[in-house]
Amino acid sequence: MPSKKSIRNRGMKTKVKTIHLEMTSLLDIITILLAFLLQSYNNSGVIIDVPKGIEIPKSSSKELNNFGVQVQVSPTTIWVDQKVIYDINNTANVNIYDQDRLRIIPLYNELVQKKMYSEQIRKATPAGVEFSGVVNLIMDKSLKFNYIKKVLHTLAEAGYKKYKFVVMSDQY
Amino acid sequence: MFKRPSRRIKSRREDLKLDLTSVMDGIFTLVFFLLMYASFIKMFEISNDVPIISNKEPPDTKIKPLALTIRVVDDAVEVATGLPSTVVSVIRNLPEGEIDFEKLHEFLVQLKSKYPHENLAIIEPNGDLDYENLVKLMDTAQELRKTDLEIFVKDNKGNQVRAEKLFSEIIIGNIQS
Repeated sequence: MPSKKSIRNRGMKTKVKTIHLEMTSLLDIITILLAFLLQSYNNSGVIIDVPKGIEIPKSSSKELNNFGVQVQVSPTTIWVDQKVIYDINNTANVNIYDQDRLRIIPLYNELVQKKMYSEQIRKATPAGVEFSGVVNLIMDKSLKFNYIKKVLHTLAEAGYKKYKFVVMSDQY
Repeated sequence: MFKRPSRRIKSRREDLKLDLTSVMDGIFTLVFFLLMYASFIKMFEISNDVPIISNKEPPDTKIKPLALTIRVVDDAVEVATGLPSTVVSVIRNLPEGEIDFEKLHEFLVQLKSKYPHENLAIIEPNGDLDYENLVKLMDTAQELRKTDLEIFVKDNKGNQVRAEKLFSEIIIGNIQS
């Protein structure tokens, strides 16, 4: 069958044109995004989980967070590493205190368990890190010291000697 | 008459195009990494140690410790120093019932300027103090603002440097009672 191509162009190969994307505006956006993300980069690497019902107070402190057990306290609930260990709605009529109403039993039990688990890991692994005794306290700003005192006393009793009060920066 | 144009193809100057593919790859990886570790609400901490009660004799030093205690009572804040503790200032609450943090801060700056080597402050809140005010109290005891009196302390090498904090070590004193 005769070709429809002109005899003049028969020898020439059809060139595939390279497409060049215009990336200037995309690069602008990415640079801005990069600057923003670098500014909000979390230097400490610690991820703090704030459960619903807790409003953290503001502070002028600039100390970076440390790794440790997270104890979250709201007016109704206590969590240890996001696990509910006491909820006033479920255990309203149960006595949770001992030692002259200063020690919170469920909190103490959970913390001792965490400490023992940490010790077991340290013994089992050759490069195991020693138990630091650091506890990150994420507490609601409306809590009264009478209640905070009980939490702190329980932590001390369970062997946690370094309290870190997690606060929100007052600067944006 | 004009000269007939040449039939030779003029050499065109090609546009220089940078190959940004590898740069873009790098930037995208960085963006995802930063997104993972970005915290849009900035959180920090206030360190606090458990008070340790010891039966041992205190170390025999010529320098008397400041033993600064900030005690919150019903309508005021008492500042006590020395062993045994003596109240050196009573800062009355504001008419609205709030603690006068500014006045307390001014007094603590004065105290720090007299005892620049002291870093310890014991806070004894009363039971009704809420956590927000406890944090403010700790801030007041720790923070040394740029507008405050300049206080110089000796660093590890013995050089005089400006103190960055008022009383950096905070202990909550009455958790055992």
